[in-house]
Formats: sequence, structure tokens, C-alpha cells
Amino acid sequence: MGASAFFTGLERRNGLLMNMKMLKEKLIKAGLFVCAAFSIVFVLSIIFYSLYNGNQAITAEFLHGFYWVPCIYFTVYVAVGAVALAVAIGLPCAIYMAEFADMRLRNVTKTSLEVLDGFPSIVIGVLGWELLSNPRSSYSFTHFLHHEFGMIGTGCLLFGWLILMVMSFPVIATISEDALRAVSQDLREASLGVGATKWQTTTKVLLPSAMPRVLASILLALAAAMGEVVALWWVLGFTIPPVFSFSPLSAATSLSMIINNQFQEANESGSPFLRQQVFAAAFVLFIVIGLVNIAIRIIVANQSKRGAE
Amino acid sequence: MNLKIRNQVSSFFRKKKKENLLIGSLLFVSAIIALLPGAIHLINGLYSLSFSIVTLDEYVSVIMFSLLMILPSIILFCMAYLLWEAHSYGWKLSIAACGIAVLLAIATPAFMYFALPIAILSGLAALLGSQNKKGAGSQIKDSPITIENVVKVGLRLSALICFSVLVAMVVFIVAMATPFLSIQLFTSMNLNYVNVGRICYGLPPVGSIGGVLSCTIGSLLVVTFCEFVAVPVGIGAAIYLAEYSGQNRLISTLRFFIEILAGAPSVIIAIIGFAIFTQTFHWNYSLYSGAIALSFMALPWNIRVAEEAIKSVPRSYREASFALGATQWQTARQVMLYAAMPGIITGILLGIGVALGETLVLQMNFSGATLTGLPNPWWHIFNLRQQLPALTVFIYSVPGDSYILSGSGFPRANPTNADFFTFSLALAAATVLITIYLVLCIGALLLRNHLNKKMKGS
Repeated sequence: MGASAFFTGLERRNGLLMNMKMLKEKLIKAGLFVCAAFSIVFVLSIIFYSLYNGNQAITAEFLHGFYWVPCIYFTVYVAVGAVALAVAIGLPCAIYMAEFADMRLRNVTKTSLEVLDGFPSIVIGVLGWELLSNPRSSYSFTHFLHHEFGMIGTGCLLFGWLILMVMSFPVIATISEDALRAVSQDLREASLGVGATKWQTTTKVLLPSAMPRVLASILLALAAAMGEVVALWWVLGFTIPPVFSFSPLSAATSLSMIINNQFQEANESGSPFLRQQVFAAAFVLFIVIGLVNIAIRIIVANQSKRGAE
Repeated sequence: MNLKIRNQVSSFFRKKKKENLLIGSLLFVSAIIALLPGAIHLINGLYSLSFSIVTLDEYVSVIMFSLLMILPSIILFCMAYLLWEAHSYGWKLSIAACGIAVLLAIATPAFMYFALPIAILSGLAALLGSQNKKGAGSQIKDSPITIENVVKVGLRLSALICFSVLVAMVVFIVAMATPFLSIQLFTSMNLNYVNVGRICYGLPPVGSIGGVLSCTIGSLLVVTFCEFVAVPVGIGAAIYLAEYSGQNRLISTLRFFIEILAGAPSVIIAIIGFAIFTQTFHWNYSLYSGAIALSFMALPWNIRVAEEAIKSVPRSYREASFALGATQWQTARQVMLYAAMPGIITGILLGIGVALGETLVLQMNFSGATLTGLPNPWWHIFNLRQQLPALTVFIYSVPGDSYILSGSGFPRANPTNADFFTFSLALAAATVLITIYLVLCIGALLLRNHLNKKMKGS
């Protein structure tokens, strides 16, 4: 009788301990979930504040007020041109690192790409100002263009392409290299066994099977290029109002630059209307870049689904 | 030791063909000769300029011109290397080098005295090379020019471009800034233009603490406070995503939002941070509004890095821990997190480097558009409501004020001494910034290699 009472007591105590343990686990899980949910809060607060501050600008006169059309055109034009140049350098570099290089050279290149990936954009901007668009320094590109083509102004689209190319090829090169490396060894060996050369294997077997992730890296670079401000600040030839032009030697104004400039102007002048427009523009930019990110997500998800099958 | 080196060297030479070696050595010698004028010009120019008052343009033109003079020798070095690699297209390239050198000599008389010897030497090398080719070509074709070889050279060239862009940027910034670096820049000045003007006209600056040093302190402080928020939250989120997740809807939603946040451009985060912290919470420009706005950017980075590190830990660790009776949290904290620590530390160090380079977020939440020095009793920098200067914001505002905004979007016709002085300040700040960044990056990468080796060894 006494013994059984003792055992039930022990069981109860053990059960209580187990319950305490489970409770602790659950509490910790909830805490970790809160950590993960911070990013949801951040994104929702971005959307909420830009809509809250900019809702009155989204009216019928929306399209006339803020130079929307030229700004979006220039944003896309600058980003696409730069990413095209970056693909021309970054993709061969990725192929070389993944397939052709020996280990030492590959490590050097990969390290330098990783360093270049997070290089402070303001420093790239200063370099761009000094080497490309400073009309007074006799070795800058603007000086040359001024003498040869009669260009007037301190910056142009071409400089924006060059600067953004330097900023975006590390992204393309590193992610594409990972994608090429992730292609299974069997495919490679099968292709070489059939008698294809290394270059044929790369172009006809490896690149097609790594294509979704390569495409994702290109889109990632595109999204980053569309939001860049500081590196372009001195080289793009910022003008208000922006003027439509197709020539790479003409001044351009991207949406993110005009957001930055007009926001400071709105703060100085205290104009509520300008402020509304700036926040509406920020909302539009955020949505555009979000759409690019969603496209990346869909591409990668499709590929992983295909890989699972 | 000596014997070992000699063996290595001799085996290196034995692999190559003799003719290629000969021409390659010839090209190496000529490259070294070609290197001399540029180096002499650089030393001469900098030495003589250091005695007189000069402009930025003069310094940079000396550096640029000597770089241009060194360029042919670099081409020659590359060619010699290619020859030593024993490829049969080396001689064609040396013909091209000869042509380039001749063209240079014709185009600018200044190049004449060193371009002509190069042209003669490389022409000789080309001649020798082609004769060798003829002689040997009838019997064996050692390395035919196929598409494979051409492609390989092209790919190697692109990798070299990637590497050299980084080196060129760092070298150029440091070379431009070196003449202007001094102790005074770093310590004895408040960073406003009143002081810059006063120093230019020989007056003592107002206030005592400041200089690029104050900017560095501000940048490091705000990034530190930002990581106090972003590191625990990021690691927690990564543990949740990697350990506690199934493939359910909630997790994919979380991932979606993290990716969106990672893609958000800094200008949007900057103006939203301004709207939230300054206008809703009335924190003004302060350490905590800057730190929290910056953590918007640092958080997705930290989550991604920590999650990748945790996922790369072998599954067997987790299973062994569960088999011993550990709970999920014990496994996550004491096994997985511990094993993933090298990767997490590396990633967070890289993230600090990236966060130091943020400009607009700091400008709109932390430093403000008008530059300030450090607060007068210096320990007030730890006051969370304090507005401090930051390196990136300083660089961002200096050329803007001294060049672009000085009259109708065009630079002033006659730049004053003060303009050069402010620009030199920006260059000094940029040098400090990339020095900190490179030290962080290289430290992180070395640490990763070291820890990886240690993990593999054990």
C-alpha cells in the first residue's frame, strides 16, 4: 500500500517534470517564432507607413505629378544595361571557377568576389566621380567625351552602367558558380564519356541544367541595381525634370535617386504634397522590386520541385 | 630546404619546352626593363611634388601617367607567362604586343624612349617564336589552336578581370588619398566646413575633438548597437527555420517575408525609418533610431548566414543528440549551434562590413544632413539619444557640397583651396572605411579557413 503510494507520487512528480519540460520547450519555440516573425513586422511596417504617408498622392493626377514615366523608364534602362554587362563578365567567371580553374586560382577569385560583393557603395561612387564624371580632372571620361563628342553635363547613362556592372557582377558570378557546382557529377561524366569536349559539356549540359538558378542570380542583381542610389549619385547626371532619351551619353534620373532627392527637399520645405508623392513613389519602387523577388522565388521553387521529381 | 627549392624549380622548368622558355625569359627581361620608366617617373614625381603646394589633379595625373607607363610591361609579363605555359599562340600575342608598343610610340612622343626598345625586343621574340613554330610544326602539334584553348584563355581573362577590379579600386583609392593623409586629418578637427575654411586660412579650428576619427567612432558604434539587436534575433530566427520547421505554409510565408526584406533597397528603408522613428516616435537623429533602422538591413543577412551554417552541420549530430535523450532545444543550442558557430561568426563579421558601408539609412536616421563633431564631453557618445557623425555620411556629403551643388549643378570654374581640402577629407574617410572593411573581410575569411581545417582535423 505504502509502496504503491510512493510510486504514484514519483510518477506524478515525473509527470509534472515532463510537463514543465514540455512547457519550457513550447515557450522557447514561441520565442524563436517571435524572432522569425520580426521580419514580417518589418515588411508590414514598410508597406503600412509608405501607404499611410502616401495614400493621398495616389489619385487621378498621380501620373502627371512626379515624372513617373521617365523615372521608371530610366530605372529599368540603367538596371537592364548594367546587368547585361555584368552577365558578360560574371558568367564566364563563374564557368571558369566551377569547371576550368585549379583550386588555388579559384579560391583567390572567389575570395575577391566575396570581398567585392559587400564593397561600400559610397566608395565606388567616389571612384566613379573621380574617374568617370569629374569634368575638371584631365584623366576622367567626361573630359574625353566633352572634347570628342561635345557632351555637356557631368554624367550619363553609360557611367551608370559601368558603375552598376562593378556592383552586380560579384552576385551573378558567386551564385552561378554555386549553381554550376551543384549540377550532379553523373551528368558531367556521362557527357564527357560520350566524347564531348569540356566546353561542349559546359554549354550543352551544365548551363541548361543550372539555368534556373543562374536566371535567379541575374534577377537578384537586377533588383539590387534598381534600388541603388549612392553609387549612382555622382555619375548618372541627375536632372530635374528628367528628360526622355535613348542615347547612352545622355543624363538620366532613376526612381530611387529622385526619391532620395525629393524626400530631402520635402523635409526642408515642409511641403506635405511632395512628401505624399515621395512615399507613393517609395511604395511603387518597393512593389516593383518585390515582384522581381517573387519571380526569383517562383523560379527557384520550380527548379527544386523538378529536382525532387 | 635549398635542395627542395632547387628541385621544385628544375621540375618547373623541365615541364616546359625549351624554345618557349627562352622567349618567355626574353620577354620577362624586357618587361622588367619596361617597368623601370614608370617606377622612376612615379618616385620622381611624388618626391618633387612633395616640396611644393600642388593640387589634387597634379598628384593624380602623376599616378595615372606612371600607371599608364607600367601598363606595357604588365602586358609583356602576361605574355611571358603565357609562353611559359607552353602554348603555341604565345608568339602571335607577342606580335600584337610589338604592334601595340609601336602604336604607342607613334601616338605619343613621350612614350618613345621606352616603347621602342619594347617593340624591338618583342618583335625579336615574335620572330624567334614563329621560326620555332615552323621548325617544330612539321613534326608535332603540341597545342593546336582549337576553340577549347581560345575559350579557356577567355574564361581565365574574365576571372582575372574580376580579381583585378577589386585590386584596382583599392589601389586607386589608397593612391589618391595617400598624399593627404596626416595626423591632423584624423584627430584635430571638427567636421564642419567652418573649421575646414578656418584651417585653410590658417586659423585654429573651433572645438577640439573630431576629424575622421570621430566619424569612425560613430560608424563603429552604430553598427555595434545594430548587431546587438540583429544578432540574437537573427540567430533565433535561423534556429526556428532550420530546426523547428517542417515544410508547412507558415515557414514558406516566413521565408517569403525574409526574402522581400532582404531585397528592399536602402533608400526605402531609410525614408521609412525616418517616418517611423523621427516623426512617429520623435527620437530625432539618434543612436537608437540609426541602429534599429540599420538592423532592418542586417537582420535578413544574419538569418541567411546562420541558417546556412546550421544546415551544413551533418544530420548525424542531431540524430545522435536525440538518441541520447536531449530535447529539441538542448540539441539546437548545445549541438547544432555549437557546431555551426564558425560559419555564423564568419557571416556576421562579413555582415558588419556590409553594414558599415550603408549610407542613406545612417544619413536619415543617425547623422543627419548637416555634419556634427563628437559631443563635447566625449563619454556622451554612449548616450543613446546622441547624434553622431558617420564615415559614409561624411563621404556622401563632402563632394556634394564642394563640387556639385556649387551653382546650377555644375562644378565651380575656379575651385578654391577649401574644395581640395574637403575632397581630401573624403578620400581619407574612404581609405579608413575600406581599410576597416578589408580587415573585417579578410579576418573573417582567414578565420573560416582556420576553423574549417580544425573541424576537418578533429
